[in-house]
Amino acid sequence: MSPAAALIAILAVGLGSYIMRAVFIIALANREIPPSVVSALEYVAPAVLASLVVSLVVDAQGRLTIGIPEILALVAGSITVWRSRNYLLSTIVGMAVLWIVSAIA
Amino acid sequence: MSFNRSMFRRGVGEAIPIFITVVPFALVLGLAVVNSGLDPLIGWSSSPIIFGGAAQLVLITLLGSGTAVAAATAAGLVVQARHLMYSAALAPIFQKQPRWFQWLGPYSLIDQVFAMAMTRADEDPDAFRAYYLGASLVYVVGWNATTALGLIVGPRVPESWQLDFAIPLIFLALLIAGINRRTKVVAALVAAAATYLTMGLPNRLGLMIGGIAGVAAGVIAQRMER
Repeated sequence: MSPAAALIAILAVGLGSYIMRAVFIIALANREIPPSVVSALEYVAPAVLASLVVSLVVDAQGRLTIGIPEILALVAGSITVWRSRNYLLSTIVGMAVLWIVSAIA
Repeated sequence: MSFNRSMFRRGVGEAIPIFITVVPFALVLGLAVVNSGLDPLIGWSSSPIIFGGAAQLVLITLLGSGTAVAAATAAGLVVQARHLMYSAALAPIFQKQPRWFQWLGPYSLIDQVFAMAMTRADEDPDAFRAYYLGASLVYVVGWNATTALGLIVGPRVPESWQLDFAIPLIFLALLIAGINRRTKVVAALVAAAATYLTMGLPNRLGLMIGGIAGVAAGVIAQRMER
């Protein structure tokens, strides 16, 4: 892979990323957006975040790529953030559970 | 138009702990650049140019394995497609923003900034903008710095630390913290199921399908609730 070819690919993905991030924000800047659409868009965050989590723990054949320690870590992190709303704390708890359970198992 | 310093600081303050969980991913990306055999500086330049870890990782890995430029570019773009949904979701909020911010804000619209911004959707425009800029500053500076560091440190972190597991942990935490009504639980569960069923599709298309299915399920659940 020549440096120039790699840089062209990076620039193309960078430009495409900016366009995808900006397109609706700029195109809809001065247009009325129907209330039903606005209320539907509230579901983008939970839907995509849930999809991201699944995509990180399941392989192309639909098998779980994580084991018991990771599952317990996700549960512990989830409970922590639900109670505390503290992301750093939930990540520390999750990673601690992962390391401790992995060490025991 | 005034600059709301306290909301700017709040954006910085709330972004830092979330950014810390991204550091392992930055190290993994550094490792991927080194392993790809690409010129390290060019590999790193994907951080300021693309500013999106998942797409960078996919693109760098494919380029390193000798995939044709067009195919690698297409794969990188498909991974980024969920940002179309973020752009649409933020459009109503950005309507109240000045033109310059409508053009600047999208540059730093990554998963974490989007999830944080949605929690501040009801702030007044000046406060929202200051918060968004504060959070964005943390990620832009932090991501560029730590991916550079990752070129050196990435290859030295023992795999047994499983630092990259912080990524699903933080996405799940962002998901749970954003749930304020039952219909969002429905959206999340349907999205998860749809993604699970479509994981076999190439280029993480399952992410888009899951996102669309989840939004549809949320809307239907909301109608049934009334």
